Amino acid sequence: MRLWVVARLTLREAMRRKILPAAALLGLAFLLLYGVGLYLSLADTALGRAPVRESPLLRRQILNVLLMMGLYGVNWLTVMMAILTSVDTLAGEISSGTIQAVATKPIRRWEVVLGKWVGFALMLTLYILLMAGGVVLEMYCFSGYVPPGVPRGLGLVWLEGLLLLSVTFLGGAWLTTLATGVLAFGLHVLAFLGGWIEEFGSIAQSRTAVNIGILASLIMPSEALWRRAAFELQGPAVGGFGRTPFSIASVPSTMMVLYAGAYAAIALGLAVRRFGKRDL
Amino acid sequence: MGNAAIQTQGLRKVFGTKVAVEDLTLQVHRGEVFGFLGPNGAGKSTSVKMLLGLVAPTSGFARVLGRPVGDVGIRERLGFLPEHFRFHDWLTAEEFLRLHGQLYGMAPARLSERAGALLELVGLAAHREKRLRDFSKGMLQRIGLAQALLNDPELIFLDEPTSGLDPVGRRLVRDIIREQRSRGATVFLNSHLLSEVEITCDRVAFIRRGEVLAVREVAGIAPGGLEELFIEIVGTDGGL
Repeated sequence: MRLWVVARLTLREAMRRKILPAAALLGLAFLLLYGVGLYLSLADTALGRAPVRESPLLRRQILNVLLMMGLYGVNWLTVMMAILTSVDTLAGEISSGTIQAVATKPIRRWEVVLGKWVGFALMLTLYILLMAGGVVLEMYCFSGYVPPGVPRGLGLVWLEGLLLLSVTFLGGAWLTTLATGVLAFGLHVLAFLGGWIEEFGSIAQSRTAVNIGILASLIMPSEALWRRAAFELQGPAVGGFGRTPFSIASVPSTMMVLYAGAYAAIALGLAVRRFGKRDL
Repeated sequence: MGNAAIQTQGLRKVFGTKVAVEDLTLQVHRGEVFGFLGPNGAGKSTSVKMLLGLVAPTSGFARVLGRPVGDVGIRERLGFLPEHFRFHDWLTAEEFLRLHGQLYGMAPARLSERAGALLELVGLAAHREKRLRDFSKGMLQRIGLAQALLNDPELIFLDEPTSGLDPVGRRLVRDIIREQRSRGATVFLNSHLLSEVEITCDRVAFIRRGEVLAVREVAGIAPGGLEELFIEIVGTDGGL
């Protein structure tokens, strides 16, 4: 199937243009830094001392905060990877004319878009598995701690990546490279701020602030997916000793997760439709 | 109509407020080398793009090899060298041909054989493992030409194929066009180089503002007379 020809081409381009090697190298540097930090924290702080050691709940909470710090970094890296690697793939090839020799072959336009999408989605999947998996594994190796909800949490981060990828594709099928980047990052930052407003509203018991946050999540549900992921990864026992920087006061609902999935599918569908109709 | 490689009726393209192609009505027979002549900005490239399904016509209709434009299946029988041959420049010459052969849906054995033969034909056999980004403009045009011939197409669109080439390259293109005609293929040659058209084409259409002003048999034009004829038909203002 010609879709796979394009998917393979996308992967090969990422290799050749040193996108994958650079991401892998920086990823390893991140994991190394995180691992060293984690090791030193565990060896050298209150964690190693008697009161904490003897209180499993407190210890688990502290370990969870350390874990969430790593995963929060991975989440941001995933957001960047999803947008930056794919921002130029449609818009760039349209504006340079590279797409012309491809689109005049016996391949349907939707196969071009979906082939590229599949290539980037595979890359993102691998990236999340490596990075988030690496953080979880380091935590386990150094402390023996396994957080709750790992498959669910990582699955939600994965969905967030695919959502941003699809939105970037929609931009690319329609706008220039630069405008696509501005659109995708702009929407995510909006979602990010919305998440904070919703959290603040929930703590301050302001219904209006919560609603504004939910509205931002409806405009762009990417951050809601992270917040749900953070909730899953912390589990009900964490937070028993007060709030942590990663506590989620207003947990995005399952409905919101489904909405995000539908949002991604519709964005990709619109990207296919727009690319199918536009002049190249 | 069954014998026409290309048939268009009132093909028109408007970008915003700019009319790129006014009213293109044209018939290209199978097996001929057809020259599409016109000044810069006459709508030649846009016309080619409409015939290839890259650009949707605002109105009018066109058939290519008996099928409406935009038919995906028909593209297995088409070849195209774009005007601004921009390709994935991180691929090597050989990988580039393999990619486009795969997009044509060619079987691996046939593809290897064709890619090898075409690299020889366009004089790039020694550069098969070189990346396209290290190619000169002329080399890119040669590899683009090889790409357009991979599938032994019945109809080949060449958009300004000699513009970046030196005399040796131009001669190569000329020879290839002749060879394609002798094998029975139709060639649609978009060019503003009158001498090239005069040597290679059977018929020429004169275009201005996306309208066919006249179609002539090249055999009926006195040697070297194409330029005169062009100015007579298109005018000295180039239609601007």
